[in-house]
Amino acid sequence: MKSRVNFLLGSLVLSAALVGCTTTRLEYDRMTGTAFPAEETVDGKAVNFTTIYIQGNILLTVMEDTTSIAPLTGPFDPSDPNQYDYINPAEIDTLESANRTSPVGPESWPCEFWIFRGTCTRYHTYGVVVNHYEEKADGTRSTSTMGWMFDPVQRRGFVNFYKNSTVNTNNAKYLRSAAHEAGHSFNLNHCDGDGSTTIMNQTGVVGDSFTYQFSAASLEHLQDHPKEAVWPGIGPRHYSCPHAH
Amino acid sequence: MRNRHVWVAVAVIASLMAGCTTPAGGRWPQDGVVSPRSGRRPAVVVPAKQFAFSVATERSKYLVGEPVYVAITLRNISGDTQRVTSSLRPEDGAVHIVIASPDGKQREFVPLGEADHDATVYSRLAPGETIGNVTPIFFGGNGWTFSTPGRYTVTAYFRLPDGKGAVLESKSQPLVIEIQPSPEGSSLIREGGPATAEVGKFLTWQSGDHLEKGRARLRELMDRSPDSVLTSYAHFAFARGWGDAFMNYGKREVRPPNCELALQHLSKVRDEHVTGYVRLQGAITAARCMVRAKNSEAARRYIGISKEITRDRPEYREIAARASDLEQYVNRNLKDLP
Repeated sequence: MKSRVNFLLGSLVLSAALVGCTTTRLEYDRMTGTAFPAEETVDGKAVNFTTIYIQGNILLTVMEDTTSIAPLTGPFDPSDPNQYDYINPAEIDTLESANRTSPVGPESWPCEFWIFRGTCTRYHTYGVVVNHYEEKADGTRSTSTMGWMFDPVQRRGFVNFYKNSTVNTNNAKYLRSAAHEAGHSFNLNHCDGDGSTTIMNQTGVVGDSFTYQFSAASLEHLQDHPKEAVWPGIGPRHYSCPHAH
Repeated sequence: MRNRHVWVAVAVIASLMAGCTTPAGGRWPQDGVVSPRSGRRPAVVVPAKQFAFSVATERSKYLVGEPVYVAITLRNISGDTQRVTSSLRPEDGAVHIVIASPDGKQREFVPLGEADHDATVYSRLAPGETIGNVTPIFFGGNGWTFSTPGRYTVTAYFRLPDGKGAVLESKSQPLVIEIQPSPEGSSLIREGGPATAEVGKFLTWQSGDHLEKGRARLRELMDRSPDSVLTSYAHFAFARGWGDAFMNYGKREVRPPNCELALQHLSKVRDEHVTGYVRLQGAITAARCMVRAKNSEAARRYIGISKEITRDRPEYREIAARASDLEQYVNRNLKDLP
């Protein structure tokens, strides 16, 4: 009996030492003239990034960081008077590299509690609210785009387009859209969605009948799939449904 | 006494674990965690008989490293108006492209971004009407798509959630593309850290002053092989880049358009090397530069070239609309030179 207890205790200690704590932090920046998505209340309960992602057993904390990025404007072109209302993918690339302070990928540090020593790990993702609409790489412009996840090579982060009228007038949808884009950083796919209400459906699909819930496929991915395929900043997007890693 | 120590230790470990979450692969009980068994099931996929969906390229043969664009079109073949998403770019979520490489492996093409749209992305498609987009598939989240010579098969899927738990799906006929060897192309996309990715991004976006490593590699190509097919694409990317202002948030400044450089690069793009998409974008870039120079005659000439390329080509409709806006500006604001 004593040896069994010791074995159990030893295993638990070893597990704690090996596993430690693993969390994700969203560094969130925004341009002047914009706002972050605010917390919502549903059935008397607060809904925010953390409560949404805890469904998938992911502890996602938000660090609201820079709030004073000035939208750039340049020489006026009368043939294209609104050109600076739009931002293209390459320009978004410069925005991240200029403002992101958190690393891409994990950072680990020893964490101790009482006699237990382990390694705590934090992964990072990045979001930035831009005071622009989306401009496509082909030069065409979209006013319907609410958000865009960038860098599928590492799944680094996302932007929210604040000039989009849904983003700047409907916080409930703005919050779901931002959580949706963050979902791509965790390798979640549109086809995870139930086609009617859950987070990974696109916002245009769900209309007004959305929930802040993940579908079964999203939950299974977040909770049970290999960490390389889940945590942001460490691997490429996988696109297939059902998930194949 | 010993038992008490054991239970204290177990309690401490439990509290440690309760304070954080697991890496994927483990599950510890925590308030708010939802079991996948409680989650809603994926949407049911049903064939969409009301659409004809296709993927096509202008040519059947390309070189290693050459930018490959596909035209994706969706036609309403039913007798009723259909509500559809107005973008058929993979990054906008409705179109998925699966590519089988010469070794038989199938991979889904991963675009360089993924968008979330509100409901205004939907439009109505009348019976017989066709929409489309031209989209690059040569570089994405998995790097260079056509990195080795051989036969590739491209199949596209159009998926349209109905908002009620079903997804309507149309599948294109497979498209075969033959990729031919190219020493310049292999050199251009060779594995070599950030430069390779930056080449891919710059050719995809035709924008990005900050992609210095990729631009340097493309300049090497232009110097080394001025007459190659790939060099024409490089000049095109530089031309479009210089032809537009660039909001460089890294430098916190806007670099204004440089039409002199844009037109220099465009003059080195050989039409026989490139596809219609490139000629179209080149014509619009030149037209914009002519508008800036207040040369209405030349602007109209380039707009005319763009209209010729886009005629009866639904996959160019959005770009054609931009050219049309420019034409209206010219007609309203620029007087013909004497």
